[in-house]
Amino acid sequence: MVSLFQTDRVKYLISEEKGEYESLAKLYFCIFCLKIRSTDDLQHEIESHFCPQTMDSWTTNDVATSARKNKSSNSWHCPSCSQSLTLGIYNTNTPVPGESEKMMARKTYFQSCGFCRWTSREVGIPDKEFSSMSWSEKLNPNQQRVNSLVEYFKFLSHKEALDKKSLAKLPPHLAVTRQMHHRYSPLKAVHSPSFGRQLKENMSLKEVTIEPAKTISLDEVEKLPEGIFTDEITITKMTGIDQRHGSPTNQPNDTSELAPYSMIAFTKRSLRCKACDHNLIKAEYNPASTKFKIHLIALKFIPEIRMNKPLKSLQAGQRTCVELSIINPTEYLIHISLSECSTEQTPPSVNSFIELSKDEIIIARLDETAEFTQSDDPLDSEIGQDNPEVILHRDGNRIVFLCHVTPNKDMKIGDRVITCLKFTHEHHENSVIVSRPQQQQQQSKSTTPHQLTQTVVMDIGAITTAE
Amino acid sequence: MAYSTRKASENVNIHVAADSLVCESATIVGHVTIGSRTIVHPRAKIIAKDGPIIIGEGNLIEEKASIINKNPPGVDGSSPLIIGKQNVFEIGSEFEGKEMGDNNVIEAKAKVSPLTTISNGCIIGALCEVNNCEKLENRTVIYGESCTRRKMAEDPPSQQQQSDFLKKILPNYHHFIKPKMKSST
Repeated sequence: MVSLFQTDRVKYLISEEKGEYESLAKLYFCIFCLKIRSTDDLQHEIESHFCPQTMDSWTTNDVATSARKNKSSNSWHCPSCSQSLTLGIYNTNTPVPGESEKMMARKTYFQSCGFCRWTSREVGIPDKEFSSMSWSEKLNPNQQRVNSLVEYFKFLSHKEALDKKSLAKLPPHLAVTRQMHHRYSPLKAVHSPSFGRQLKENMSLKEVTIEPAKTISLDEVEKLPEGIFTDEITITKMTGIDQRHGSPTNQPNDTSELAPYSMIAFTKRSLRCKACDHNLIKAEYNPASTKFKIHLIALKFIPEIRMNKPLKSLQAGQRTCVELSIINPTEYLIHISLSECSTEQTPPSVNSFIELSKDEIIIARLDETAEFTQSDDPLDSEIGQDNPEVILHRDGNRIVFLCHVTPNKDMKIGDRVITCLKFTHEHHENSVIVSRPQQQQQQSKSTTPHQLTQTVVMDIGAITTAE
Repeated sequence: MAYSTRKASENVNIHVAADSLVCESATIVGHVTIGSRTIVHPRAKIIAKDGPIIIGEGNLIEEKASIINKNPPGVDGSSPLIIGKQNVFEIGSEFEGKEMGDNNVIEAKAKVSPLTTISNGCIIGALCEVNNCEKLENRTVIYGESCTRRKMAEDPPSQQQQSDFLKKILPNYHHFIKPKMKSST
């Protein structure tokens, strides 16, 4: 699979204890704890709900209180193919009431699907006169029973809570006698300070009764019709499983019972680091905007390693030259030093031996104006001359360097060759965002960069030729 | 298959009805009859390879649509390809069957193989390929990645508005084949 960030090939270590690796594109970086975080290490909070079709948003408060909850009021799903429905207009000429000779052009609206060509007229839903707020979802046939059951359970839980409260205050040896007095005493006037309070609470509790569900004996159940296994079925009349699951409250067996169902709202959420409780991702409120107020993703801070070229051939036991590129996403010049993983730290899936150069690699900063400005001096003074055996190519904030990989001897054709390397890079803080206690004491403008080490596991390719 | 880029008006075997609009830059090869009120957009391809093509009234054949009279594999000889009324061939569609009824829609980039015949009111969805040896029933809809099928309750909406609009606009931008009088050859 081709992907821009090579998500299936190059993976970074998230945590040593768990040994989890994930591609950099899916990771976040907490600049306060200076660690890579994956979605498991973050807690999410829902900021707002919005309808994906009409892009109007409503707050979580509205969701909790309104009857429609998180369902959109005007956007519907096609019951036949679950795509979104669009309004169709049907122009009719109806006679004006009173004057039978004049014809008035009237527009009626119906729902139609552009993908499978289903229309609301097929199931007999009458056309509406107004384009919005006219359609409602099909009622759940069991809704009344469910509502009464919920009410009854609420009453029961309320009653239990009250009983617990009243009994807990009484000393245990008096609990039973008190209860008997309350229930059976003819006077109903027990002289105790808690009596008045309890009376009020009991009065606020309305008695709710519920009919038990009706039961039918096995003999009364309707038998299956005679020809059910032998009659020919019309496939076009039957609904498919996906169509039935679309409206789980009343799963229709027949296509003539299909009805549009509401679109469920999408959510915008913000992510927070569990360790230090800072926000890492905070999106804008406007649902149509894809920008973020806070956007601390790993790709912005950690240098990214990519395979530069696919390898022509890999042979078990043979030393192959591999080209890798590193991209510096930060606004500062960074120094990278590569090293091999020690045997304890190597993940179990690694099956090759890597040789890396010991030189420190300097990568220029990300310069967004680079394509517009002319620079006569290609090499920065700090970078100096590159060792041509190590660094093949340098282009702004990206370099291509060489390393050598020897796959293990016992590998067969088709096995994926996996290597592991470690690199140390610098992380410069933006002191406006992060304020650490030692910096406030020093009050120095230049901040010393932190040295961070990342472990990267790469899938270089498959063995192509046998020895 | 490369066809010469001569103008369709140089093809002597075309019979074009009086009120149809056939653009000159359409590729029309072989014996083709085009009915009245049919609109053939520029860059459409109508190639009567293995027999004549007879197109009915009120059809809409859009850009890059191709209608090729090709025999199914294993069949020789020439047989006509008959297309009915009020059909729509959207952009990039390919129709190679032998027969088509009325009121059908072949959506963009859909393909119909030489083995299939289509009856009335069918809609072949975008990018769907139909290559079974069968006659599609009336009002069949084929849609989706896996060519799911469905039956519709109504015919597809009529293209009358679109045809009227095109009749007004197209002559401003394209040249058309002038329909020949019956007496000339």
